[in-house]
Amino acid sequence: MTKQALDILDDIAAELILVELSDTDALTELREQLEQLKAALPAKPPAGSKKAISQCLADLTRLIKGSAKHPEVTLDSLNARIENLAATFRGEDRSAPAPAEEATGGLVLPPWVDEELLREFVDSQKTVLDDLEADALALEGGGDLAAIRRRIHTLKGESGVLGLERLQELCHELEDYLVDDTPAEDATDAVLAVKDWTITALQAYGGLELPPPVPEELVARLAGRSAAPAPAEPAQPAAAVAEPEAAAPAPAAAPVPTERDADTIELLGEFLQEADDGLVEADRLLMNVEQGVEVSEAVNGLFRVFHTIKGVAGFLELDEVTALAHTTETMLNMVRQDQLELSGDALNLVFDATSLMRQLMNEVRAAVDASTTVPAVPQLGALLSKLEAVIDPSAAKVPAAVPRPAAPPTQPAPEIAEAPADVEPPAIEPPAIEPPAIEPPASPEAAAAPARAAAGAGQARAAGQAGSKIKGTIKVDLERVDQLVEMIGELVIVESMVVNTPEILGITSSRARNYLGQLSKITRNLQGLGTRMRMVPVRSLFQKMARMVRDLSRKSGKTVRLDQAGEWTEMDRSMVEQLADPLVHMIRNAVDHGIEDSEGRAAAGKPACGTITLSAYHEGGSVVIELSDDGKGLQREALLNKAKRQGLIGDDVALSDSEILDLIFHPGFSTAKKVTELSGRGVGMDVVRKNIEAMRGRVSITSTPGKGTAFKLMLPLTLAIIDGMLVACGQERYIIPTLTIIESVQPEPEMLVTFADELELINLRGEMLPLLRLGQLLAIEGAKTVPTEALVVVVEGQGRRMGLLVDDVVTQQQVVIKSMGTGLEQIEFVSGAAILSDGRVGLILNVDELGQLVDMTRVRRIASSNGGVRATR
Amino acid sequence: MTESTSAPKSSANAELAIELAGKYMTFKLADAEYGIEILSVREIIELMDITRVPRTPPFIRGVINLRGKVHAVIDLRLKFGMDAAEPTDQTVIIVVQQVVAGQNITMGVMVDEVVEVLDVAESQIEPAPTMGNTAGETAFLLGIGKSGSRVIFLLDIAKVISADDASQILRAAGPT
Repeated sequence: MTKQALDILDDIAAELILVELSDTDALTELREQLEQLKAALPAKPPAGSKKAISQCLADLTRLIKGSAKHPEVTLDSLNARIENLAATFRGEDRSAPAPAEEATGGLVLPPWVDEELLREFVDSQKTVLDDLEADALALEGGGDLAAIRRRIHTLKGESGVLGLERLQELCHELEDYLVDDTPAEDATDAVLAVKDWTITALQAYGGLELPPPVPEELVARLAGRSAAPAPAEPAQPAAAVAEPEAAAPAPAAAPVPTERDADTIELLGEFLQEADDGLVEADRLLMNVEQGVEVSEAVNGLFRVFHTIKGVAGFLELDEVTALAHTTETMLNMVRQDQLELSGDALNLVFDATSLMRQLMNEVRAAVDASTTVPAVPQLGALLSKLEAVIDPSAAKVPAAVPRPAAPPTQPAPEIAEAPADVEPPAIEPPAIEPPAIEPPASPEAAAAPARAAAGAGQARAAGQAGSKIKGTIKVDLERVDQLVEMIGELVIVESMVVNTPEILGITSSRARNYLGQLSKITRNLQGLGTRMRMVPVRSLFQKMARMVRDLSRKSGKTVRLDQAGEWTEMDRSMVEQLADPLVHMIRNAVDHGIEDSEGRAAAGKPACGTITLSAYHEGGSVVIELSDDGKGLQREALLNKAKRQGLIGDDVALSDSEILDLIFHPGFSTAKKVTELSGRGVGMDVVRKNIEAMRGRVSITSTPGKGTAFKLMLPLTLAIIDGMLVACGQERYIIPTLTIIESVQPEPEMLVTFADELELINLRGEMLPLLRLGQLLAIEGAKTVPTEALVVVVEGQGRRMGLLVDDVVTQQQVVIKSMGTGLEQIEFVSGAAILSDGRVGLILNVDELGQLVDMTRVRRIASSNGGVRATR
Repeated sequence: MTESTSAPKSSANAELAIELAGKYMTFKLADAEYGIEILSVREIIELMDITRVPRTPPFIRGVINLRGKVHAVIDLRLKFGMDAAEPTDQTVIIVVQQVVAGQNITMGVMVDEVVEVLDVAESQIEPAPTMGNTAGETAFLLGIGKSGSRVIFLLDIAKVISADDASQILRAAGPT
């Protein structure tokens, strides 16, 4: 039996090395083999092997479904598990305490932490770290130190629970370092350095490996500061919340009007949603415990639910929730360590805690909606006492004797956290609460809790937008969203087909027309909703850029700051990701070459600090991202000279201003090192344009010498829908993306010039543009041949403008981009297809490829290869 | 080859016949009858408006909108090197779906007329003649089915609609 199992395992191990993540067939086969193995297990399998196999199966299923968050990591851990399994079967005791539990790399997880929990943690910390970075940057402008402390503290607590010691230690050191209320000048650097290391560490943890050691200099920096005489002890207020001793309850605040800023409300909303989910799970687990099903797993699950609630509630300063979660968690932890049996009263207490927690959540929700503080829940004290009685029977009686019957409104006193559970209720109780008019309710305790006061001040500042309600959110599988969006797209098409059917168009009944109108309207609304579902604010992207500007500014020795506007402007999630690269290039250029050094700025009479402005806004159906600097601007003479020297343009060519500026997008131009010095603009602008155009967008540039340079990126709202102009040519119709269109003109005879009977040009207000005949390029039958009877659409692709001769412009409409059928992915001059309102397929022209054609010989060759005959006027 | 070595050829044929036996959708091009394995056929639709795709070989008729999805349509006559024919009211598009090299390919195949769904037993199947090279249209043949006096060319539809097409399209599109 064992031999057979070993053979199967060896097979699997061999195949795992070769398998491609995308190859679902192979993965499915592997799963089948594992199933066989499971079936072939001897009656008494080696300890842990059954569980390990189940985990492997789960991993494989995730990989097959593509639902693994980090497929590579999952695959690696799968490898390790299989190896461990084989070792187990061979009788080698490779990982003694829990075979195949801990995978590679030496990271030993505490027994109550499984990999999934760890990965969840790793994933969730990414946004936390982003926020931390934002806070750290804000610190330089006198931002909120308390927020940073809170985040660091939460991170410390969570990493402690998960057994991530290095991270925990580092957080601890940073906390010590930040103990002073007046942050050191380089505090931001320190926090950022910690953040950077944490990212690397999280990656390692995610792969179940130990992170690299913390850099010496960082340790030294943190230690140097914290060794300095620190002020009074209570400067760690947030710390108390999660300390194990912080068991005692004391909250009983009457609802007091309070204001929360939009961010907090959003966080609260997410928290409530997650907590609700967690509590539902808790109920289920409790039932399991009651019925004796998988008790130990259920207890671990319960622990996790309360632990998660505790962590977030602590961060959100929901003291009652934190207290309840903490106490329940403490009790569950005892159960886990076999110091307590979860049955009878103890079990009932957890049930009670779950329902009370739910009640607390409702209170929180109501309080947020009503913009008040969270009112006291009378039963809390009693329940907490009972819980503590179970946790520590000897010390229990004292708090139990202190019920809180309709207590007069009191403030949650932070000191209580330091008071052990068996001491009297807090001594410090403000005599009465004066509803604070402007200050949030944290103010009475401000003296004792500087951190909270600072946070309160922060809230007061942002309170302008208060009064909004919690937005409910649900998590939805991305695939389902995509399906929904796709179905909406089809609905839109069918609707427009129905409405445009000649029979329907012939209907004169006003009632029917009214219904049709409603149908159209609802369909449009639905389309708008569908489009918005995938949209996210550009804020996270802007945040990254802020960080980069800061780093660059340090490196270059110039002081530069980034002003942001419109960071809540939304666009398609994938586009936000794709925008990062181009923005990095452009900002780097702006700092390196656009902004002058301090002497230069002084000489030009500008403020010493250079400013880069990044803004986003909607314009028509597009999103515009603008990036401008107040540097020295582009020097046109230098650009021209260089271009001439490189042979890009002839000596006597007169370029328009925009053409001169466009030179920086020329591939050969920007990579030459010398040009950088001369032009003041650097590497990679051709890449920028390529990336933007790949998103069907356009980039334009304006520059005033001495005043600065501005780039304007115009992008479609989503990658799936574009504004298009439907043009007719012969019997065929094509879609030209509106963003590429400059204008359209009806050519007059005197505008048309033919060079050597071969090359046609159109003179557009003095600008000579090549004229491409769509009919000839695409071999369209029956296209108009006399330009003056047709229309010229002036388009821009690859930075080149050209006139496109078409028969007529039919209409302008939004189209949903469809991929061409299989086998037709790479058709020249066509970038995709769209369903037109009559149900036929229209092809979307690839203006970039047309732009490449402007190499004249190519125009000629292609025209003649299509058998086209050049008509003359 | 573990069996008797006396008739390896016929045993190979028998295996082929077993493999190929099953239901086929049969259709006509000119006077000849062809069969596509029924599981590859997704649906049969009337001839509809086809949008021509420029700079593709003639056998690519263009693209159609099939419930919101865009699919290519090939003209099987032209693909097999036959003369083009004016569409009649019998002309249909057979939508075939097939996984080729891990890629799910859906494509319309335009034929003169659909005949029937035919059950071809293993006794009715013969191997395709090998004419020395397998480059020509015979490369698309799996075997030949006989039903009474009828002869049905059983097509390897995956080959018909797969990579060959793509490469031909690219070739026809000219050097880029």
